[in-house]
Formats: sequence, structure tokens, C-alpha cells
Amino acid sequence: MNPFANISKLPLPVEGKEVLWGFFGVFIIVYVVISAILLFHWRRYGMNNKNIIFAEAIFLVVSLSLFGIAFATLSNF
Amino acid sequence: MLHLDPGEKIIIEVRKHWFVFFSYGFFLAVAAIAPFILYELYAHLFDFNIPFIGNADTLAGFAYSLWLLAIWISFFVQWTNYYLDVWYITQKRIIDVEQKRLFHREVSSIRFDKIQDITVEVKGLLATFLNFGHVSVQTASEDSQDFSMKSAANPERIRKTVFAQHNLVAERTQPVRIVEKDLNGNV
Repeated sequence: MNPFANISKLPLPVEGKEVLWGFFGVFIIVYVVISAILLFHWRRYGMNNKNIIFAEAIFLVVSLSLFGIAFATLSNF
Repeated sequence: MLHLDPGEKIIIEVRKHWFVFFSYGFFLAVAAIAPFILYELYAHLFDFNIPFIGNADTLAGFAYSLWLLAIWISFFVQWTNYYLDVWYITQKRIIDVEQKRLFHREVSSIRFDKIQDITVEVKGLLATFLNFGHVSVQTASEDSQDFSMKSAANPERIRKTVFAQHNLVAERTQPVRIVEKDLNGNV
């Protein structure tokens, strides 16, 4: 028997899409806080090391790209 | 922030070998592709379908994007702990910066004239071929802690640099004997 057969019949207190947007919002806040902590450490203790500057650039570019994809997919859901 | 004396310059930076971080990176790479593997296993082994409301592809794409973001930030948190763990060897001293966790950082320094011995241990096949090992600096004082770094990259270079700087400092601090001579050169 498929244990997931009745998932779509479960009553939800709010619309499914609103829940997803809410979850996405919380995820963004947590991600921004951790990113700020990382950037603080790189700027304060990095000694202007070129590897850290490169890592910072890569981190921001990929993060923004993935957030863009997440936003686009959620918008089209 | 690292505070150096006026005129003090960093000769080399010593970090753990990249292979130490590679194992964690590999684990994260596996975690990144794990959803595909798990989905294929689930679909083939149990022949079940999960009924999604709405467009299943876009929802899966959204979930996977968030999964990758979580992995990405986890990677950089670990990389920060790895990369900020460093020895700075200057002309005057060794500065040991130990980044234990994001909000736990220890900085100690030892001058070359306080160094008694330096030990390098390269153990195992991987360590030999990839050139990394355990470096330990013993101090002359009983009160201060010895410095050590596990899996340091290029340990022999570290040993040579420390010895060279130690010898330079020792030569500079040798006592000078003043000898008075008369006009004929007699003492």
C-alpha cells in the first residue's frame, strides 16, 4: 500500500503556496545572518588574502544564482 | 585582526593541507546529488509515486535549490574554520591562529629565541605523497604551551624556515666583547 496516497487530501490551515513563501522568507533571513557572520570573519581576519577575496566572490555569485532559481521556481509553482 | 610590530613582515603562512578539507567537501558533493539517488532508489525499489499538488517539477526545483543553498553555506562555514587556522611566520616570531569554531578563536605567539626544538612527523602513504604532516614546536619555557599543527602542508619547508629564522635571531643576540687597545695595537 502506498503510504503517501492520502497526502493530497490532508486539510491545510493555509494555502500551500503561502506556506512555501513563508518558509522561503525564513530561509532567506537565516541565510543572510550566516552570510553576514562569514563575511565579518573574512573581512576581519582574512588579512586581505587573495584566496579569501576570491572565495567571497564565488560565495556571493553562486548564492545569488541559487536564490534566483529558487525564486523563479516558486513563482511558477 | 593581526597586529604586527613596526617593520615586521610575514615570511610564510602555514595552513593544513587541502586534503584535510577535501574529505568534507566530498561528503557535501555526495549530499548534493543524494536527492536524485534517493528518488531513483525509491521509485525503482518500492514502485511508489508521491502525489504532488500542482506542478511537481517546479516544487522539486525549489526544494532542491534550497537544499543546495544549505550545502553551499555549510561548505563555506567549514572552509572558514579551515582557512583561518594558520601559522604566520615572521622575522621575529611564530603567530599561531587557531580558529576552533566561528566564534572561538585563539591567537598565541612565540619568539624565535624561545624555541627549543621543532619536530616534523610525516606518517602514512597519503601524507608522504601529498607532503603533509604533524609539526610541533617546543618552547624553552615550562609555563608556555608548545605549538603544534596537524596535517600541515609542506612540513619540511616550515622546519627549514623556522630554523633559519631561529639562527638569524641567535646571531643577532650574540654578546659583543669590547677590547681596548693602545696606539700600538696591544691589548
